[in-house]
Amino acid sequence: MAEIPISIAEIPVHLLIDDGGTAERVRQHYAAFLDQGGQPPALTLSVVVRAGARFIPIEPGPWIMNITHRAGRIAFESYLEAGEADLNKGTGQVVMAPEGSLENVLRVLYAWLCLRQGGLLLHAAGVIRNGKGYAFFGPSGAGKTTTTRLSEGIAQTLSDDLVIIRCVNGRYILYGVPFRGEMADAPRWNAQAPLTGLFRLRQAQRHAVVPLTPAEGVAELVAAAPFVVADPTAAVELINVCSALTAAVPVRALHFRRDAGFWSVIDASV
Amino acid sequence: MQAYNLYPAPHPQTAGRVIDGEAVLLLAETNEIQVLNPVGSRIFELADGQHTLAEIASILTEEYNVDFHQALADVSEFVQQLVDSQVLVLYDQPRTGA
Repeated sequence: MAEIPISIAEIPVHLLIDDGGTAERVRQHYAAFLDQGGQPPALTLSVVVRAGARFIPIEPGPWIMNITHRAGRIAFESYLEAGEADLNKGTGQVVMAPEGSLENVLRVLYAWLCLRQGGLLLHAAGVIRNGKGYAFFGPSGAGKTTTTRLSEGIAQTLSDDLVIIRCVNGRYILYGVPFRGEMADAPRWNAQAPLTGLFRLRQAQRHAVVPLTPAEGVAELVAAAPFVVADPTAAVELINVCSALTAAVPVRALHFRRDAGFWSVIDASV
Repeated sequence: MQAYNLYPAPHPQTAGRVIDGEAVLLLAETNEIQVLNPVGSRIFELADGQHTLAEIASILTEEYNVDFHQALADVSEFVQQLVDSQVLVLYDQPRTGA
């Protein structure tokens, strides 16, 4: 049994994997996020690798993970992985095929772990520029990967698809995550910075930063919180977390065209 | 019972919160997120299971200086829309603890 402690957004999760080959792949994949701090884990996840494991039929179409949540207990099932976790006890188990991946399991579990700690896993691109964190969010096609690519050489990329935002000691911090979007080969930095800008992306003919009302900002954030937004039991907590976040870092719309000039309107606005 | 004497209250499966005068609603059934305009948000705020439709219309009449009968018609129509989209539920008695 290999124990692999990882820490994403300073939330430690220990993985106990019963297969050496899988453990080594996981260790390499999350190399930048291995936990050196020795903090007690928020979750210890036992991983059983079983040849031939299949849980739901593989069919053409969007990727599926069936998730149910009740009072801190989460059950999940995808094509090659299934399991459950009790976030109250801090334990869980996964059964997966050797060709399966823990990536999507960890996305789901971290979405819940973040929410329980007043934070968000957000469907957003994240970059650090001059020591400040910026998140650009919106649904698929909104321009997260585009703004990330346009920021290359200008800002350090955290992710083009998912980031974590948490309130730590009264400040909101933007964290990189190891989860991969379209820029599959881009490095995933285990870095963090104070959250300075929170922008809902809107493709346009010119660059502009446009204020949103607090309620509009909350609604946009709620819509961009994967997994937890689909669970009615999390709705009140999700709205409250997004409301606290927008009170500290207002959400604005970034109207942008496909050039890096949008940074000039951002710089002028913060 | 006249519809005007019914008590609207939030649907148990819908989460909503009024932020700076605008209500953000997360509809469980459709997973849809809505932001209501200020008047709609005020109606949602007053739909606490303690006020009848007529009482809500009366409050709006004072707050917005509008005709009571027009307010009652508008409130009734708007509340019915929220009932249809499972944001609100109408009860014939006040809701304790709502």
